[in-house]
Amino acid sequence: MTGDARLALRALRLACEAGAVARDASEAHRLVADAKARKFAAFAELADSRDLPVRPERFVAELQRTLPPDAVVVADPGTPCPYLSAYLRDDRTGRHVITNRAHGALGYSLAASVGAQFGRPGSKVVAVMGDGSFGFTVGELETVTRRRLPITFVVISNAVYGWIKAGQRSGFDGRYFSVDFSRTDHARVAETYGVKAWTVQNPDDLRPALAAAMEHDGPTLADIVCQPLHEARAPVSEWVA
Amino acid sequence: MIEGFLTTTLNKGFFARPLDAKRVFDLYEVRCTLEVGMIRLASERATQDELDALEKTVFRHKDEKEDAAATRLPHLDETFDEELARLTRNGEFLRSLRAINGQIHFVRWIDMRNGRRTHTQSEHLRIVRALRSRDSSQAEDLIRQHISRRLDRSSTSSAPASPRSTCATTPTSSMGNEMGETTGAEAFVQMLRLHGVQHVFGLCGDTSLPLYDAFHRLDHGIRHVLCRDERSAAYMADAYARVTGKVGVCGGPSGGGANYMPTRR
Repeated sequence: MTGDARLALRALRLACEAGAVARDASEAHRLVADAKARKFAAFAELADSRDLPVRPERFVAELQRTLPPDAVVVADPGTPCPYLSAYLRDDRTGRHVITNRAHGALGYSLAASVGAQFGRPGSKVVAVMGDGSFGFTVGELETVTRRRLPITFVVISNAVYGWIKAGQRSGFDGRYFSVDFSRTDHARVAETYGVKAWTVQNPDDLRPALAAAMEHDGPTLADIVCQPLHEARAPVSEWVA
Repeated sequence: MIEGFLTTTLNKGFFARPLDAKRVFDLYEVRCTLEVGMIRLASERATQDELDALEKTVFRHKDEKEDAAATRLPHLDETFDEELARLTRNGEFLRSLRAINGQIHFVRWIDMRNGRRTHTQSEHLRIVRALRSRDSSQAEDLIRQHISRRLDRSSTSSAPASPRSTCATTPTSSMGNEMGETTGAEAFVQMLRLHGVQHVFGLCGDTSLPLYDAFHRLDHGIRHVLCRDERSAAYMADAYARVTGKVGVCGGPSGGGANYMPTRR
């Protein structure tokens, strides 16, 4: 749970006063456990998927396996925010996962990871973005190489403003308009800035590529050709319903 | 804007009025005269309850941490003076005192950073005790010493050794412009330093040239991270704040740069 302490506590108090709290919490525990089990069962169906293009679920599963224990993860809107919010397990206390869901501006994580790295120089910082976001902030890769920041960037490449396209599918009967763009070779772009890069098309290459990118002593980028969000089974209640 | 402290020059920005030794001396002389008068009236007019309350306040301020925010300590000092002014039952004292304190504020603030604090609080305590025993002449003597000690320090540290000498104490010799004035940019950089800022994310534009010049010339220990877009500067500062729990600082010029920054999340 993340929230402004005062507002969240007030909301909780009002809910309690309105009688929303059962005297016996075991029912609530059971409901939460069931919901979690259902969610992760859906995740597990695709977490080992070898389908092409790479399923977002498979990517999250491999990211979970390769993240070092001290990692700070910065996630952009698009594919990263809903998938990591739903499926990335993190039982640490403190702030380790950052996403800019409030206004959802694209291009956040590439730049924000720079600030996170200066703030936690000893930690591994991983920025996960869509290719839309990459296009917004790519110029900042120069800052990253100039300051020799060992950040790992992950680009979920699907050549679409997928969140918006999914909205056009669910809310406007699939009348798609101005949401597709062409595919960029993000690995080559990164290399021209001096960032060591990997391109991943095959799901089985995910783990070794992510592991190598995180272990490298310098800035790295993994460009992952991924299933578009509007075709994926994204954990977004508006689309699921 | 504090009376007499900042002036504006068209197309050049804000300038801090030079705090030369003579001016600092004059200000303290007025304050000293004012407070001696105040303390005499206070010792005649204040009730025992009010003096008890004042003593409690001074005790409370003693517990304030030495590393409290730079702006907090002078505030406490001024609170004491203003309490004395209220005890005179004459509102004009408070008004005059605030006008003077507004101008002395910056000197005082530097003073507090230089280890004045313990003295200040113990002197306040002795003053209150003299008042409580209704010993107005002792209270007057104490407040005179209290302020003139301050004056000694201020005039030593801002002695006009050269026409460029400006603020009471500056951490570097390169403060001030050709007119011997502290620029707004210089004061701003020193404010950042005193607030413990270690990183600033941003890039320079036309309107921030004086700020970057101040960053270049002053010895402040702040690391500036040059970024390639003001939006990025805001995002960097945002994540920096989230992982450190400290304030994240980003900067850009007015106009385009400033407009890029607010949509950070």
